[in-house]
Amino acid sequence: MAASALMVAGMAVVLAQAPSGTAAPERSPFNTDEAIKKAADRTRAEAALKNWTVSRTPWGDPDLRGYWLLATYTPLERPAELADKPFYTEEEALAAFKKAVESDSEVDPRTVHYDWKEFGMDAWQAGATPNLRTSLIVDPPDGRLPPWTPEAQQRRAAAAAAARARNPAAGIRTFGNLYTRCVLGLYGAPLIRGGAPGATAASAAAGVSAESQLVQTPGYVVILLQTNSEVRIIPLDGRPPLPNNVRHWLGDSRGRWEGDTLVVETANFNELSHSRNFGGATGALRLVERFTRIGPNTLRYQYTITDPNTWTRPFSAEAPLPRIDPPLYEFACHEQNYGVINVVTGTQISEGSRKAR
Amino acid sequence: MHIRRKALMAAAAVVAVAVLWFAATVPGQGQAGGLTRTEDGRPNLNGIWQSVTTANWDIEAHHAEAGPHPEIMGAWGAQPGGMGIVEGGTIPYKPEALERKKENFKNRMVVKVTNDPSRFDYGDPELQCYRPGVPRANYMPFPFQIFQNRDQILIVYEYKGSMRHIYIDPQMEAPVDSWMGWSNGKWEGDTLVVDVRGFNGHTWFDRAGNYATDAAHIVERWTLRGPDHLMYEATIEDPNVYTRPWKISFPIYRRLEPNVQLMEFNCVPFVEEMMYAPLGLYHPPDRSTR
Amino acid sequence: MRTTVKILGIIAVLGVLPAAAPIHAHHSFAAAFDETKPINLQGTVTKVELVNPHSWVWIDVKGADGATTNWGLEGGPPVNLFRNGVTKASLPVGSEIKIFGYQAKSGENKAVAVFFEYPDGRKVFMGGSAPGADGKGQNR
Repeated sequence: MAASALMVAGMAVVLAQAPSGTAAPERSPFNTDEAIKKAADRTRAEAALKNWTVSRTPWGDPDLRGYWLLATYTPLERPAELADKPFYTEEEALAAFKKAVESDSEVDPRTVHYDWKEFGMDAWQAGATPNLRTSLIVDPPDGRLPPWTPEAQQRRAAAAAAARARNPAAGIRTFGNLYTRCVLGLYGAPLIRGGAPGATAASAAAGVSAESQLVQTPGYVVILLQTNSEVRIIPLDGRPPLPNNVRHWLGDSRGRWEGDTLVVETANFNELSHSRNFGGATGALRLVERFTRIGPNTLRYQYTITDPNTWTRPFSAEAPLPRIDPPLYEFACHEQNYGVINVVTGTQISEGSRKAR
Repeated sequence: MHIRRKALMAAAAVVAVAVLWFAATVPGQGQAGGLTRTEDGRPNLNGIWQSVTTANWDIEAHHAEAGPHPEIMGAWGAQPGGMGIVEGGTIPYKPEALERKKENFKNRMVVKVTNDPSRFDYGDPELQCYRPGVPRANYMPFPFQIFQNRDQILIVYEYKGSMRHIYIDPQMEAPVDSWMGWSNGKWEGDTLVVDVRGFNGHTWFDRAGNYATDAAHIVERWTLRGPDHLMYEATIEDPNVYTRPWKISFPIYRRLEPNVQLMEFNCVPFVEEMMYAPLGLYHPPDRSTR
Repeated sequence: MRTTVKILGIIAVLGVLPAAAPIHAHHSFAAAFDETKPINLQGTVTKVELVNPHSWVWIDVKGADGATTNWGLEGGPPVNLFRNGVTKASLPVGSEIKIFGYQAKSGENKAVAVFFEYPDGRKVFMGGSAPGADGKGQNR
């Protein structure tokens, strides 16, 4: 009984919180049981709310402002063993979450990298929550990416062949990926990637540094991403899109309200932006995102991707994003990128291609 | 009497039109004291702004000069003249600090990248697509956009998408050093006063080698003067470098083109060859891959 | 007793191929560090760099011959450390720490630290402060 009283009191505090939250961030937990219980409790509390309506900004738009976590243990694609099961029961969802968290918090002693937990890098330490869905993809109904177009299959085969035939010395452009090079962050457009629960910590079971912030002013929504300190500015005034020849890494976005849902359409991606995601989409990719606050601490995020050069049909995904504490920190990735030097040097040494200096 | 009433009515009509025009340009917000204001009564700084000075080349007064590699860059790369933005004209360097500034200028295009902590001894950070810091971000030749809420003001600079949060309520001390510093702001009447600390000591003020250390303390004052002009001043202190505090000031102009927006300026791909080829780590991508 | 995990090397090479599923590689870490070269080091902190995407801690290590070498140790992203309450004052210069990690393939005195530990066995970044640190000092 004390627990539910605490929960109610906690909810009251949360409901009374100003959008900017507390002055100092809450400490990452180090205890998986506590974190699992807390995540489960808050998810249940949100789901149990009835007759909740979204608050408004001072100028009358639905208030989506605040800090939201993009990391999730739910995989992008539904695992084969769950083929006909788009939803878990609540017990199954919690069990899957617990399994993912515990696996994530283990340190593989053979891992040539950190104990992620010590550095606060596990998604459960950042506030990831359970999800009733068994995959982020909700359409096609089987929860899997649609088939590749013949053109996309050719592109992928050509890229694989070219990678094998590449300039033998590994270099920044041919080896370092867009994140290692600090060109792009891990979450941009779309915002969610999907987890690989049960993966070793080294392959990022759910996502690291996955904090985002949504800012609103009259006529604009701004999404800030923690990795690479990226910004997406979304005008809401119905202005025309950029000309077709103007291409951006994060595309160019236009937003509008449909009831209490923010709808954002993004196009004008450059050709490289999605080459590492989703197996190689093109600059023709179009993204439609929907943001709806469904509780005091939950933002429902949905997206639909269309690229007729890559997939035979569009696909859609969604995830609930939990509210987290501020702030975002500067992510000056390129400014001190020792990592890319070490990674490329190490690869050159492994491949025997490093010349004596 | 008759004429005066007509004049008064004409004047009232002009005012009414002006009020309607302001209301139309900024939906849902009021006007008082000649400025558009936000719902909480503050001057409305929202919008896209840009300064028009040559301060990014040199914040002190300077004449036009050939730029780097004139044999390739010609007039494209030349430095234009400018009257500077330093009040009083010169920066009050301590003598040893002025020597360091001259060293900076000599080495401003030296690129020496290593996986070693001494890598910031050389070169203008802007050349390598590093964050410009404050106040330099405000006078780069790129626009920036201000997003103003009651509790927090966000500024996004087109250059590299650099951003800074100005925390109004709540505030906290800088938990860590950064390129853009940590900004706490408050309103003094109609002026936004921003206290910036927590610099990492790697930023320069311009391409001329003017610099500060991680002890830098900047206090900015942002004041709207009419709907399309922001008057900016900043007081700069750094006991490691200067003999006393000093000030810069310049106007910032609203970008008025219809549908103007920030473009992306992600300069990292533009500098990778310059930075990493000397280490044998850069090879142009194979033409047949993406 | 340490089995080398070749799969990590394979992931490093596959980094250049487009993958069917989103690539979750935070970095291709194994490429920089050598799984056949685990090391244990103990030394005094000379510099802490809380820089993205990885923090670096530099320590002076005294060898058996009495000579001192400076080692650079890569740690996790500072944005995550800050949520653990770590600040620039958390690991003062002069603190004694131990690390277990893997050395850089380049042979330089650099390693990735699997974790950092105080001499009493507490993990450094899990919210501990250095023995004797008051957490309020400025490293200037």
